[in-house]
Amino acid sequence: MGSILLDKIVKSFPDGTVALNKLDLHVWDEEFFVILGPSGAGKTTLLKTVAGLYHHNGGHLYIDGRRVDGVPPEDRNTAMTFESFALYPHLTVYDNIANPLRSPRYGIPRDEVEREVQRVCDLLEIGHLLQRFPKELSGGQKQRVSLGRAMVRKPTVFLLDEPLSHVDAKVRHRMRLELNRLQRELNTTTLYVTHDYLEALSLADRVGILEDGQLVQVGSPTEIYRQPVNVSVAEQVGYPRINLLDAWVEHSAGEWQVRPFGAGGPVLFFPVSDGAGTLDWGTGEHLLGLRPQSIRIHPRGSGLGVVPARVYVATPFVTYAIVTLLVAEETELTALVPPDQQLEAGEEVELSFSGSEFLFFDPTTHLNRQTPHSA
Amino acid sequence: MPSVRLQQVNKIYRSKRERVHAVRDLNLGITEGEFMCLLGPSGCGKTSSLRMIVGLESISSGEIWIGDRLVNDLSPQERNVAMSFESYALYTHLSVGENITFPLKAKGMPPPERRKRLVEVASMLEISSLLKMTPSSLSSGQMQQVSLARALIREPSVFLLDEPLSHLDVNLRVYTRNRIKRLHTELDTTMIYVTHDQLEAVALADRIAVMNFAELQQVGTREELLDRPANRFVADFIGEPPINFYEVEIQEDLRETTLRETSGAFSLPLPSRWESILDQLEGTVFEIGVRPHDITLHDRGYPQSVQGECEIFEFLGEENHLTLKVGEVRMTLVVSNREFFETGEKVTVYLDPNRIHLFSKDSGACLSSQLGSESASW
Repeated sequence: MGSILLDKIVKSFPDGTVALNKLDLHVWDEEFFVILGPSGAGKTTLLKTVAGLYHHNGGHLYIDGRRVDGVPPEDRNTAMTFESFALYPHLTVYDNIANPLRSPRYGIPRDEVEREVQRVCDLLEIGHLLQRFPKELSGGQKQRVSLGRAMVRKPTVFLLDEPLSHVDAKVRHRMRLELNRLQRELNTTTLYVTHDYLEALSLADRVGILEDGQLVQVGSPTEIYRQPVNVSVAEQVGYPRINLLDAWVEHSAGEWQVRPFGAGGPVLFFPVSDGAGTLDWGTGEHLLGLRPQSIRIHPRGSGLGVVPARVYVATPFVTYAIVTLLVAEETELTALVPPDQQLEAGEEVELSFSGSEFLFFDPTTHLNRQTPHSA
Repeated sequence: MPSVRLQQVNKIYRSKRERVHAVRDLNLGITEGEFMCLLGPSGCGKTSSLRMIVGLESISSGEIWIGDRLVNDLSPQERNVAMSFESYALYTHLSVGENITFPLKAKGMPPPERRKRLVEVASMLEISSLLKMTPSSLSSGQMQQVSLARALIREPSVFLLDEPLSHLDVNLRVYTRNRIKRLHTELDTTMIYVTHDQLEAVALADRIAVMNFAELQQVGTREELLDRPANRFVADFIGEPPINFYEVEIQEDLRETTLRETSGAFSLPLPSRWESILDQLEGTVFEIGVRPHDITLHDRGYPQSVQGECEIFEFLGEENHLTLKVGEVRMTLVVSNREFFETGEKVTVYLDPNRIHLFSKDSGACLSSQLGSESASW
């Protein structure tokens, strides 16, 4: 049991930097909430404030319904893991995990400590590592030990700081699945911070995007990806990065006409109502967001595309290819296509687009014109 | 004629206490104009190999040829190769332009010619506007471009790059990777590129040399490494999400021969192309590998179908990942970003028999890579 409620939390530092600026956040009981943001956004400050390692200068903080402003970290019943793992190098894995339970203030008998460590190690499948020292562990193993140490205390909430940033790509993929699994078994409220949008989408019940000390959007993974509130959220979530084009949009004769490649460039026509519903775009200047995946590339002259383009670089990966295209000799577009589509640098092609996947942003405010800006 | 050839090359580092065999019996030919990536985990010997080619590291035994010259005893300057380093190694007190032309100045080339080359290289890398700036005012992506320009201006016959993208953020990495790829198309210079990142190697290289524990595992194109991996290490190292491995054994009854996962999670018909090696497989346990992209959702019951239950569903934006619990084992597959699953949902998937890789349990060698492809048998 344990919700986390931040009510207009302010955290500033003596040098005048405001890291958290009247931040509101409600993490529900048993929820896995991920804070996503670039480095310097205030992610770690937020975690440390909840843990009590930092004192906030304004607002109120509630854990499990109890106001904890000024309550010391050890009395908040939170457990935090650190980006650097922070294991004791001179202690074995067993002692590292048992350490939080041995504090005299808990007075837990020896055999109970042993049982508890065993329970956690079974869950994390690290029973065979108990006698090793941290320097003998791989990155993924250290990560599990650090989680184990947080788990033995049966905290009300977990606070996890970039737990996967120091493990290599392969291990990261496996650990992501393990964290998913663990979350289902433990059902402990978790606040997790990361700069990796894949981790956020994969793990979160809800994601909060942190920018300049405030949450600019809170939503489910699909909402964050499909309806980003502004340009910067759209750019942070998705790979390759979303294409942004200055577009002029007009409505005439039952059609939308979109000019994304300048006044003299090609025009895209879309029916006002297509299979996916009514398209409500609005006449005028837009910043058009075009996911690389929504661009299709066809051979020149096939009649399947509507915009002529030239391949600048085609890069086949294992399961997809990333293609950089030039439209009207100056606009660069990135497209994500199947890897078996053979394309050569310099090849002349034509493009088609799926209008229902367009995102329209205000060119000055950068806000998404189609989502309610409630955040 | 290969532009660079390594024959039985070894690198052994000795200290009083230790002897480390960093590169073992490496044989590798890189053809004129080829883009070759040396790929492997840290400590696999890839950087030592690169440094031996450049001449920064002595060769313990074996021969390295560049063009028709044996270069074992030539200094780095005499080899006509250029290297761009992981750290950019720029002179902070010189302007960008002076940094780039430095190698030419050191050679004693007259200023007008230096300037002409500088203009060419700068326009090729699109850094003409930076030439008057100092390195300290550049972004890391720009520094990488300058470091490339400085290597290129010497017009080397071989161009070596050591993890040039590792210090760049995601978006700059995409941009710089594009530039490097484009550069190779325009210049046609032989390039040797070291990386631990499989995606980078796959993206850039004509061929990839995969190394592990000081030894070359396989050399091949992207398709060859994916479709016909030499062994379990290569199959596991390349591909994302990682390939699924299962222990299986042959089970024969009157009607058919099947592959049975050893815990009994699933059985598959024996791919017909494996029949020629059936006698090697009988009575032993071996491993199969199936890539997450070679498993497809399929409601109809084919013999190649496997039934499982959704354990973990991941919405990831561009594509979704689905991890199934199949009996006691797990199976990860990739589905489109329009497909959603609930935990516990029953899912039937189809394993393409042409895309199942077979590995020896003892040696890790891939037995199916030598076989032809499946005829349409179902």
